[in-house]
Amino acid sequence: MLWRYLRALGAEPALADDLAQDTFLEILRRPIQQYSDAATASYLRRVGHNLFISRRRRDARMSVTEHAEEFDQAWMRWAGFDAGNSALDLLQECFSRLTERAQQALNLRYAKSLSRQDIADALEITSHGAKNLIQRAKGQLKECMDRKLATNDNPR
Amino acid sequence: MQDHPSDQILEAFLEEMLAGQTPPDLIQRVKVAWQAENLRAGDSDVDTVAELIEIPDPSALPGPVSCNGTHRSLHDMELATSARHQRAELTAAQAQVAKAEPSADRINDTNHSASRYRSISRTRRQVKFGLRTWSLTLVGVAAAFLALLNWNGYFSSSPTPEPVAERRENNTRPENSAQTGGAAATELATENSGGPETAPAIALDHAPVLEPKIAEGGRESAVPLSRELEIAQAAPTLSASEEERQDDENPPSVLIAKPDAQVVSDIDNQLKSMWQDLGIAPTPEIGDAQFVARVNSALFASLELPLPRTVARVGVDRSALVKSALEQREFADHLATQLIGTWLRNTGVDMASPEVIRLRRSVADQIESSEPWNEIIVDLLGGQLVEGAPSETFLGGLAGNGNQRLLERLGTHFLNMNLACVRCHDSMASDDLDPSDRVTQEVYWSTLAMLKGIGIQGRRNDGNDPLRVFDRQELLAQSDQFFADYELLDNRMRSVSARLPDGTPWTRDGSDLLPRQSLSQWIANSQRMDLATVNQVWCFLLGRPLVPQVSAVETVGLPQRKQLLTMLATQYRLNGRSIRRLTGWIAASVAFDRSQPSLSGDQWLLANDEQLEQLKISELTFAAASTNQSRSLSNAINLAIQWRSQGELNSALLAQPAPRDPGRTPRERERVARELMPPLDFAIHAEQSTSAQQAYLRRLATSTQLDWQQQVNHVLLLRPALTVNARIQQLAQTLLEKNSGNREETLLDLLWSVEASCPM
Repeated sequence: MLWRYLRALGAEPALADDLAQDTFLEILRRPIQQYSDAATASYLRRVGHNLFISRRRRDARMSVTEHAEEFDQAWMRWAGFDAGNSALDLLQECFSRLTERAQQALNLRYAKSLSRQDIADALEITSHGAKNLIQRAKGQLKECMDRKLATNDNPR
Repeated sequence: MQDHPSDQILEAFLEEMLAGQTPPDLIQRVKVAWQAENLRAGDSDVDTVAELIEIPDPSALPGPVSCNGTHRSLHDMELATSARHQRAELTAAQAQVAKAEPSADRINDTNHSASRYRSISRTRRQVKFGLRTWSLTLVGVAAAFLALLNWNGYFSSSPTPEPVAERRENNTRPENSAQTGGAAATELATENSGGPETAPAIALDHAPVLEPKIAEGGRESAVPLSRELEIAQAAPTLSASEEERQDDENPPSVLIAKPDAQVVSDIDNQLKSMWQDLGIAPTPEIGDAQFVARVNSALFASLELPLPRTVARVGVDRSALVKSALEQREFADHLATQLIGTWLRNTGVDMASPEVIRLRRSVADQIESSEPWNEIIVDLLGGQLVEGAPSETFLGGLAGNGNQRLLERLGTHFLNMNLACVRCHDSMASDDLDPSDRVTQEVYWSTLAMLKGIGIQGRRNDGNDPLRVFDRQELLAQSDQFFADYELLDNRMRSVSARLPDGTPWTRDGSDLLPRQSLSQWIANSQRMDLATVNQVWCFLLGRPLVPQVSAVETVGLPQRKQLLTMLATQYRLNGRSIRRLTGWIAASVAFDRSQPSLSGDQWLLANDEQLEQLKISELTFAAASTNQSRSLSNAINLAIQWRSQGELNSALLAQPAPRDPGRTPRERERVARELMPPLDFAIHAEQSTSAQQAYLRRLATSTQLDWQQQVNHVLLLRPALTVNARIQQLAQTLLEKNSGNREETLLDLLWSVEASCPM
């Protein structure tokens, strides 16, 4: 769950490995009192977040979100209760509802890491069209996920 | 990186789902790194660690990697402990810790991230000390923690990624359940350590929180900042306020609701007694015409209608006038506007929006009716979050960003306490205050946890993505999610579970109330809200609260004022918590018809410090009407800058005989002197400080723990509703320059600016 959280923050896989390890080392160096599993998970995320910010600043990389609480709330909504497994299942369902062409575009983008031009060539569309296709597909996924996650939320 | 957190999360999940970037198994890697670190530290118990958590042969450890040679800040050195870099960097960090110690000791109580890194070296030493002292127990913690990781699924139990669907299925199987994983790991730790006697992993609940205390002369040394500043709260005892203790001491039959005239008489008697004790002569009563104007101004915000000014010419029955004014709807509307204005101050909420107008109508109805005023907090904080409801508007203005602003406003307006201080450190009562007048950081954060799950989405004034409030407490309640993490001044972190301010833990058992609803009910029933209401209404009518919420800054007549506040709060409660009657009592008291202190330009030029201080004390004890003029914080600071900029000129002019030149008429002399005189409130309050202010500001200005910016923040946070931003900090810097670098004088000017712009 921590690794996924770090990835969602923007850490590359290798960096997420490092930071997850560093987080647990920090905890081992400074043991915490266990109130509940959720409290421990929150604490781990906080430490991981701080380490990530520290690393980004040190590397003079892009700025990272300063709104840890806001990000944490979004994370809890997506993945707070089962390490994100349910959210991945929901995402899979949403993904299956996309058009074949949209699925293809996202697969080329994420599974094969092709550039936008390469995706355009593969789908025989313009580069701008590929960008729009991916953006629309992600928008549909987000909308679908929001809807599905909302059904899990407590109604007002 | 995407703008919205959900976009970031979607991106990461897509990469995991489509590119197979699944969570790796890091257990072994953490074990290896932990052992390497202990080996470097020369920990004598490392063998035990190896036994317990199966440390592999050290020869298999990854080799050290040299630093890149570039300069790094302390926090970088401290926190960059990845598997590739940690050996070299830890050594480098330890070597530089001693050099960096002064800066590391600097405490930043407003910027958590920065402070964490600045003094982390100290924490590191403490942890190291703790590691040696508690090594055996730590071994247990380590093993149990790794067990917990398995239990919670932080690490995948299999290095080979499972398909999502399979993983989900596996998670539901009993043999892969969390408890099984945790039990297996604990069992492993127990087995390898040779039995339960040497297996502290089992005693996870007893894992020590390292709290090294610095002993000086056999006496425990408290956190330096707290001792140094001793920021005291005015009667902030949550478990038992002075009034509650008094209630305990007196049988209930002693407390009886008094008629209005008797309450007003009691107020007058207590005020006059205080003035006599302090040797203060109250200013003369204002005339009838001024009184009518003041009633109009204070109760209606209008100098004209609905009260006819002509009555002033033939004399008025002041009590009847006040009573008549309070019965009009305009009073309820005006008070509702003032209350909402203070609740939502500096939040960006449009006060003319339909939502706020609906809220105002609802609050005015509550004021107009005879229903107990305290129930308003149940509507505001605990009410249904439906469109247009009071709670939607209230929480829409204050929730978000961790809800700290929401909590601090609840503290100021409904609990009569400044919580901005205890966000970062415990408050400590001054010697002359009741030791129980202390609020801890833990109270702040455990109460904040009661607000978890409340937040906002969207943006204010954005038609496409309008701002809306959400409440996920019901969902969080299903999995015990109510807790908060916070940092102590020494950078250790703590986690607390949700509790009411009196320390009662929130549980779902036997109650259908969610935490925010429980908190709203608790506040409504609390006598602290009575104190807050009295203080607030007093402030609206007389320009400053009866008792300041941070009392260390202003102590003149404080015991008497606290006694008066307690008496008024008691009568307010016994009389059905009618805010209308409360207003009437204050408006009919001798404090309401005092005139302002008069101070002409000429008098100011000739006044000595004692005279100025006397004028100030008169105002602080309500023996004179407030001279405060309504200003924004930046305007107030700018005025101070402008006035201090003329310092040299003034000195030069004061040395000239011109103002007292006998060749000039008194009117001309007054005009010249007036040009040299600042506004009346500045002349009285910023020119002369009380002894408590001097003590507080001197302590703040000479603190070695705080830099200038932090000192400024301490003054600004005396009013949590004020916005502390870079522009205000810049103005404070300019003011410091105008005061020739004199911090104490600058902080006094800032204190005046804060009080002038936000009385409460």
